[in-house]
Amino acid sequence: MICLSPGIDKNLSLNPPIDLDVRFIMDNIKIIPENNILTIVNDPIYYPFEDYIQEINSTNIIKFQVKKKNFFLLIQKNFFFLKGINLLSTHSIDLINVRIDNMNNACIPFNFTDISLMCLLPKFILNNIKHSEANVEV
Amino acid sequence: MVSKKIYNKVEIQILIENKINRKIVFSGGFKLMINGENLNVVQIPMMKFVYNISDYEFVSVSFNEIIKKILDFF
Repeated sequence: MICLSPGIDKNLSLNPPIDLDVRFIMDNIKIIPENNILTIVNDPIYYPFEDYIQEINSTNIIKFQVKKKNFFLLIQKNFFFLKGINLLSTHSIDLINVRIDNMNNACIPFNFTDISLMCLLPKFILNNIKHSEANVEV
Repeated sequence: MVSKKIYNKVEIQILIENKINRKIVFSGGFKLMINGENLNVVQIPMMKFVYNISDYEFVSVSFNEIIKKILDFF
């Protein structure tokens, strides 16, 4: 079974880290497993190329625009270098999907820390993107 | 860690592996995959998340069940 983790209402004034007990309700049966604590931590934030911060939204998609001048820089270097906070401490590298326009996994993550993500752009992607919008999805 | 209960004469098991990521984010939406046995006999499997015994409770219905209901609709 797959369930989505709950979003916490900001009006509840709960400050991470927050421990939650996990229980299972299988129709009328309740199951309380051992070792059932999950910890809620602050959201990851990926900084866009511009100077403002855009936080993760309810669909877990962080949008940042690739400006034309950044894009040329990107082609020369053949990789993205993204900065942020709470990255590695909230999600693993295998959950990252860097989408460019409609291309999923268009940039392959290869270096991931709590404050940065580097991903490699394959040649066929480089040949097919122009004025593109990139998204990081976890 | 395996948790077991008998449901309609069938033993259902929930397996929570030690290696699973135990951190989730404030905005929610992380997929939590739980393995087990005979989970298919349950009509509406749900997870409940409880803060501070009972101060706040959040319920999440299994994703598979939602997809199944959408497919049934069409």
